[in-house]
Formats: sequence, C-alpha cells, structure tokens
Amino acid sequence: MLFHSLQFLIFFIITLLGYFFLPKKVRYLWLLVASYYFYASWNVKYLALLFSSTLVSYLAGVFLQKWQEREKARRWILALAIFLNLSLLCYFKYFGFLAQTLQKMLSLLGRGELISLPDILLPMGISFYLFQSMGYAVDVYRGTVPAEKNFFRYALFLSFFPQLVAGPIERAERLLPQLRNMEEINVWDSKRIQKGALIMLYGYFMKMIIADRAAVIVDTVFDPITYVNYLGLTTWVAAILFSIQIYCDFAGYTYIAIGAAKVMGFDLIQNFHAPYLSRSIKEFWDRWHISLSKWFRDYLYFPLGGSRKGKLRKFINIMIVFLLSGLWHGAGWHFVFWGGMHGALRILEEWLSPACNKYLGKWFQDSFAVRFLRRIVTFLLVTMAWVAFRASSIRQTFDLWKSMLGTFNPWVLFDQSLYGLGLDEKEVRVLLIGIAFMILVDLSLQWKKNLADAILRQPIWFRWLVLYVGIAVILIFGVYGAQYDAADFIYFQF
Amino acid sequence: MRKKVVRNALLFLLFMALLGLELIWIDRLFLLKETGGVQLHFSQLRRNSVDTVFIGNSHQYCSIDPDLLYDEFGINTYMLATSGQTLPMSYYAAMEAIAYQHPKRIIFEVCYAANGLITINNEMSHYFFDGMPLCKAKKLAIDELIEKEDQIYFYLPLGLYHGRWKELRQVDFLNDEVSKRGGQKADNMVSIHDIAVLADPSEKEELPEHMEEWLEKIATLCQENQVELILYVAPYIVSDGEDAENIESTKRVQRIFNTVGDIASRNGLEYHNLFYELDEIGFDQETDWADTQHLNQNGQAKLTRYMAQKGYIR
Repeated sequence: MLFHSLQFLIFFIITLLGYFFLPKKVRYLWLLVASYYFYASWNVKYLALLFSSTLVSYLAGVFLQKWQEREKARRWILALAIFLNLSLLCYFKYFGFLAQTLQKMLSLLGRGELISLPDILLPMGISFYLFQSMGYAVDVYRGTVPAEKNFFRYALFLSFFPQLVAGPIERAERLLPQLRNMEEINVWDSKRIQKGALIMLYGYFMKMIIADRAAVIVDTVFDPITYVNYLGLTTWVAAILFSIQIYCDFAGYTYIAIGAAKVMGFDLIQNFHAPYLSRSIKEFWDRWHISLSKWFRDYLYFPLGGSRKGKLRKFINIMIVFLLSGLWHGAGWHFVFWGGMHGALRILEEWLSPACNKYLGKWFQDSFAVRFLRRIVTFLLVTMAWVAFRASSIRQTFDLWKSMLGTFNPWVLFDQSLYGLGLDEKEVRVLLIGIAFMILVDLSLQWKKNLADAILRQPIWFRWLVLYVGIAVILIFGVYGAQYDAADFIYFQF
Repeated sequence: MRKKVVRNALLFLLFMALLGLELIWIDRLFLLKETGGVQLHFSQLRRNSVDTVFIGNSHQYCSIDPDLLYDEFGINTYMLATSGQTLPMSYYAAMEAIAYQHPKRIIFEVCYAANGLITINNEMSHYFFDGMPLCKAKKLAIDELIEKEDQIYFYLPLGLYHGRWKELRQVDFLNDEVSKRGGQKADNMVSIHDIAVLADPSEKEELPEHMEEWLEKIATLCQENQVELILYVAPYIVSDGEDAENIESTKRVQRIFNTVGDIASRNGLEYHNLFYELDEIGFDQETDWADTQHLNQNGQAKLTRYMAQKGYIR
C-alpha cells in the first residue's frame, strides 16, 4: 500500500474516522490494528517478522528494567536482543548477498555451482523497524527511557504506520510518551489537521511531481546496458537529477509520514533539513536522513569511542560507520563503496581543513560567494557519490565517472538532445518549476521560516485555496495512473 | 467546546464539498470530449426533456443527426451512442436513458448484433463510460463488463488521462466538440463501391453467442418501463472485396440482420433493415461516405431526413 495510491488514501480516511470517533481509551489499539493491516497489505507473512522483533525488544525492555541490580544478566539480555534483531536483518537482507558474493568468488575457481542462491524476499522497511527495536533496547539498558509495560502500546511504537516502512527511525524517548498521552490529544484541532495536510501535500508534490518525473531521465541514462550511449554533460544532468530524485523520493515519503502523523496529533522527527544547502560533507550528514545519522552516532560511533581516542581512531570509527551505513542502504558492494566514499570524503574534509584554513584562508574568508561555492562543491561531491549508489555495479560507476569527467559536450544543453531522454519539453518545464519550488522551500527552511506555519497564519479562505491548488497541481501534473508503473519509494528497499 | 466541534465539523463538510466540486471540474476538463462529451451532455440535460433517445455505436451517430431532426422536423432527440458501444453497453445505455429521461421511445441501431462482442477493448469501453455520471447503470455495467483489476479506472478515469494537460484545447474548456443533442458529424469524403445486398430477406442465420440474449434484455427493459423500442440497421459495406471469403462474410452478416427481424417480431417491435431500402434512400457513393462503414455529414443528413419522412423516427 504505497502512500501515493488510492488504497492508502482510503485506508488513511478510515483510520482517521476510527481514530477521531472511537473512545479515547481504545485509540492506540485502533492505530495498532491499522498499522498491522497497513504492513500486512504488502505481505501478510511479514507480520510474523514485525511481531517477533516487537516481542524480543519488549521482553528485553521489561527484564532490563526489572533486573536493575544484575548488570551481567542485563548485558546478556541486551546482547541477545541485539543479536536476534541483527540475525533477522542479516538473514533477510544480507544472506542472499553473502551467497552471491561467495558464488562469484567460487566461480573464479570454476566451482560456482557449489553455492545455490537462496530465494529470500526482502520484507518492506525491515531495516527501519529493526533499528528502532534495537535502539529501544539500548535506551532502556542505558536508562534513557523507562521500559514500556503495555505490550500493545509498545507494538504500536514499533509499527506506527506513517513511519513503519521508510522511517523516520523514531526514538522511544520521543514517540513513546506521545503514544502514552494519546488520550490528551485534541483530535479536532483544525489548525493542526490543516498543517498535517499541508505537509502531506508537499510530500506528494516532491514524490509525484519531481521524483517520479526525474526518474524517467535517470532510468534512461543509468540503464545498465545502454548507459554507454550517454556521455559527459548528459550523464551529469542525469546524475544531478538522481540527486534530486532520491531527495524528493525519500524526503517526500518522510513529509507524507510526518504530515499523516501530525493530522493525528503526533510529532515525528524532522528527517531532512535542506541537505543540498550543506557546505560540507559533515553538514550534509547532519541534514540528510537525520534519524539514521543520529542512530549510527548514538548506538555505534559513540560506543566505538567516537573522537575520544585520538585522531586515527576517530577516522577509523568514521569509516566503520559510513561503510555500515552503506551496507544498511543495500546489500550490494556498490552501496558499501558509496558509504566508503562518503567516509573518505568526511575524513579528508576533517584532515585537510586545518591546512586549507591556514593556506587558503585569506582567499576564502566567510562571504556569500564562499558559502555559495562550498555548497556547490558539496553538492557536486554528493552527486558524484550518488552515481555509485544508483549504478548497478562498481564498474558502471567508474564508467559513468569517466564519462562525466572525461567528455566535453556542453552543446547538449542547447541542441534539444536532452529532450530525447524520455521527457518532452513541457514535462521538463514542469520538472524545472517543481525543482525551483523545492529549492524555495529548502531556502525557507535554511532561513528558519516554516512555510506551513506562514500559510496557517493566513485567513481560512487562503489556507483552503492553498490546499485546493496543491491538490489540483498534484492531480494534474503528478506522475501516476495506469500508464505509470507505480514506482515504490526508493527507501522502501532498505 | 461542543460549539467549536460542531463548527469544525461543518467547516470540514464544506471543505470536502468544495473539494468534490474541484475534482468533478478537473475530471470533466480532462475528459476526452470527442468521446466522453456524449455522455457528459446527456447527464446535463433537464430531466425528462427528450422524446427519443438513439443508442448504438459509431454507425448510429454517423447515420442520424439529432440537430437536423429538431431543426427540420421538430423532433426532440438525443444521440446516446459512442464508438465501440457493444450490445451489452447499449443495454446499460438504455437503462441510463430511462433513468434520466424516460423517453417515449428508444431507437437502437443493431449492427453490433453481428459481431458478437461483449466489449471491444478497454480503450473503447472508456469512450462509453468516462463521461457517464455515477449511477446505477454505470455501476452494473462496470461490474458486468469490466475486469475487476481495471474497474478502478472506470470509476476514476482521471488516473488515465490527467497526462492530457499537455494537449488541452479550447474544446476541453468549452466542451463543444459534440452538439448539445449528442450529435457528431464526419466531414471527410471517400468514394466507395456499391453496397452489395447478397442475402435474400428469407435467409437467416443465428446471432453470435449471447447477442440474442442482450437484444431480448433491451426489449424487456423497454417493455417494463413502457418505452417504445425501434430497431434498425443502417447500411454499410460489410466486407469490402469480391473474393469468396468477403462475399460469404457479407451474406452471413446480412442473414443475421434478417434474424434480428424475427426477434423484433417475436417481441412486437418495429424493425427496419435499411439494406433493403437502399434505392429509396438514394445514397451517392461519391459524396455520402466518410469510409466504407460510416456516412459523412451529407449521407447522415440524407438518411436522417429519409427516416424522419418515413416515420421511422418520430
């Protein structure tokens, strides 16, 4: 049940009706049923997995709290909870990848037939809720949050449908108190509902107007067989469009999730903060998929020692985090390579920055021009890295980079050949207007101006007008319908 | 507090009502006017304002000009016929016509009785369904005629044609492609061979599977609702060619049209097989045809006047 499907809209309306009209005391149970139904709509068998992870971390939480004095037992419980969750993740996500890698290695020795590839279907959103589940166990162990005693409420924390399949990866300290205090939510707060609807609408705009339209050109140029036909600036255009596609796809999903939760009175974590306006790779990761970055920081980077054990160890820790982050994004070497590339850039940035400040400081004093240049350079580096992410293999990545850096063909911008990549001139115009609007919204975020709040301060007729125009724009210019091969949100696969 | 809740609920209802109007407007704007306009205009007619409704497919709307009927003969009619409208679809069109207009009579062009198709394909079915308002006939027709997985696009066709934003024209905003009486005219002209009449009126052949059943259903529906049903078949070149296969095909189809006459008699219906009135109509092979199957506006005017003067249309 994709967010931009009619089924979801019907499901959401029914869920809202139940949520608004049922007695306060059973609201959380209603949301739990709705969330499990939402997840089962992909494959009912996945429910067993979700339930198992819920049970493991719930019981871990209960015993971690109960046995405060038995430190050794608590460590074992925590280790067991993490081990069980990681086992599920490894089996469903990485077992096939491991078998494939082994098979390739054995093929080099002429014995590839010794390994047969398992046929394992990757359950939707597994990386998100298993991480949330492990995070909860660690938080209870550390005493950051009290264990949740009500199993059903805890099950809702892990399965809350807006953020179940593609995050944000919520923390127990943020979401659980909101679920506990659900009875106090004024469900009829019209301004809150309108704000949630506006946020959802912007998410749909990002997904259906920008991401799915950009995908047409990206899919053409990145095709694993025909990509060799596209050179230089054409590849750059596709790479930049992929940067925009993945942002609008993922952030679009997150905005729909945040908006849907907001309509019901819940605040989810802001997962993106204008990431392409970052002036460094470090800043980029503070603004991109914030909930995952924080998860890795709190549950991996800090326990590894963070920056407390010297520079070399810090760099090693950074590299470990980024390699694992790459692997989290997908079971493929090109994902690991992508993570490694970000790790390397991040280390280089930190390593070179004192020297740069010393020798280049006077030419690059803080100014609009320098900030602008830094943003452009960061964006281009991130875009180069996204090529590795989008390519189907490391070899294709290098071929594409070679084409991007080694071919001079600026005339493609003027000779109409870009219109031969799947989008005609009118479609490209809509895409560019959409991107311009997205940049405007990101700039407003950067300047700490919340567009949704600004709209909500206007009179009711204007607020309604914005909603009506937004709906019309999405219905008319959105990429959807029978001709449309309903593209899943990219991040679902993680 | 209670007052505020009631106020919010009312505002919510108003918002949803306006949203509904917006969705209807968008849906109508993007509807293919050449095809959906027929149904759209029909749904906008004042209730019970039409005396005669024509149902059928492109043969029907290329044969009869409802505007000419009103201008020259004062007969108030509506052309509820779309391309590829098969017999089962025409049954539901009759149901819709009765529900909205309860006309005195329905005039049904039956040439699709010979092709035996329930639907031609989804694209053609959209011509019939997309402009149709949501009503009992539409729901029953979609349930009966459309595969389950495709049904959603017949209820919400915007998913199919919202991509037309690139090709919107004046006609999409004004909706004047089809006349307010559902009339359409073909303005091209081709020269055709003689229309061969190869089957003697006494020669008969069974209708393809289910077609008789659907004809009977239309007859029963009209009878139950006290609507007069008139059947006719407009002439056309059934199979263009002089080899044995084409000749046999023409004979077979014309024998089927003769059998329709039997079904009409059995149900006490008026039936006009115009293949046997070609000389009286007096088509000009050079100027009256849009193609071998359809009349152009000259032929349409000629046949319309002929049928009105003969009293077949009243």
